[in-house]
Amino acid sequence: MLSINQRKIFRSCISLLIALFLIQPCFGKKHDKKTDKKSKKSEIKQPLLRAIGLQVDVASLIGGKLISSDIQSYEASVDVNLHNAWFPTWEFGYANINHTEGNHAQFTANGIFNRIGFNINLLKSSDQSKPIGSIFYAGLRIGHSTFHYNIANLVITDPYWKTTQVLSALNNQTSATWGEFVAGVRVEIIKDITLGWSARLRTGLSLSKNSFGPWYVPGYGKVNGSGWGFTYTIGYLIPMKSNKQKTKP
Amino acid sequence: MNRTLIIVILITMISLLLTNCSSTGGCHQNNYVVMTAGLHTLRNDTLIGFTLDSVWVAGVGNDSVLYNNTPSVTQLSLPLQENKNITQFVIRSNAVYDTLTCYHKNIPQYISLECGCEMNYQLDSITTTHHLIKSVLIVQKNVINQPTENIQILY
Repeated sequence: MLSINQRKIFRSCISLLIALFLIQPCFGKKHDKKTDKKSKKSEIKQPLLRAIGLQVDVASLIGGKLISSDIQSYEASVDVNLHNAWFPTWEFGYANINHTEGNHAQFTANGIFNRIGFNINLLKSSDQSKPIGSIFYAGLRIGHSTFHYNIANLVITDPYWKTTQVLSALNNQTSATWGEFVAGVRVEIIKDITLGWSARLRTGLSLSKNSFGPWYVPGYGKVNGSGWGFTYTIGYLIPMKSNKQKTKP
Repeated sequence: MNRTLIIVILITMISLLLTNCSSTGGCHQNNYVVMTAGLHTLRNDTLIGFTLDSVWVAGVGNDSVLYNNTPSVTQLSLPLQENKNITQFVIRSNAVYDTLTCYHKNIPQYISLECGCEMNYQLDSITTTHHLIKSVLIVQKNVINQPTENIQILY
């Protein structure tokens, strides 16, 4: 039987192996310096809205199957490409939790979550005539979740009087709000199909008052966790009509 | 792009490691709450600490002993019953017995899923026999998981 620290090391090693496999989309399209010079000479004004991106998070799906079957989380997102630079984003999802602690206390919950925010593309686009497919971004989010949860089988034992009581807190409803810092990459691997991932730091969790606080918040994670999160997405870009580049005679 | 690629790989690896570096599982606190009784006496109208030698203490109706002829006792830690509102203790010193009766409310306090609940108490009143004990006074009626004196036993 592995100790808690050994299990954490094992999970980290598995995560690193998965990361080494997943970083291969980083070898995307190379910058073409010749194209940069040509595009500067013949720049024309492009529309504000360049593309709409749809993504589905597969990290939470894999995590639910391989790492922790207690937590089933499903997440998708929509973002809007403005000038190949700003990407207002809406992320939404649903989580279902059924967790039992070592002391046999049980936590069950289900609910939806939403996050809104924006990403800023940190890479310069060499060709402004079409929507950028690959970006390296940083961003901010505000998250909110409304969910129901139950806490059961809380055992209080008295070692001197040798008594045992079992307590439960059922049918609790609460809402939570938090902030996130996000950094990530999205690469267009083939036309309009993207792969991407992001690292997130969640902070400032605010919960509505409840005597028995939740163990897990959908969209946020464990209340007493590190606050770090990770997503791996597969997506599809819907490009908007752009003004075609005209070269000077 | 090479530098960007290195930064991206580093961010990915660090974030993957950090997602597993959450707080270690299990509970790291003692959530057994006991009532603290300080032993005192009056000298020249001034309340001072009192030391009992060879103290024997047990809960009424319990075969287990809390203090078994313990020397030099200035304070007693007395566990109240979690499923009743009355708890009685027998205190013996120098072959003289007294019975302390505590009337209390029981208030379960949720800590976390890992630690579960602890039972806190609110003292309503305390009575005692007066063979060696002169009187008992409640100084802090809320019995919680902190080393605070709840009652004063005057000898």
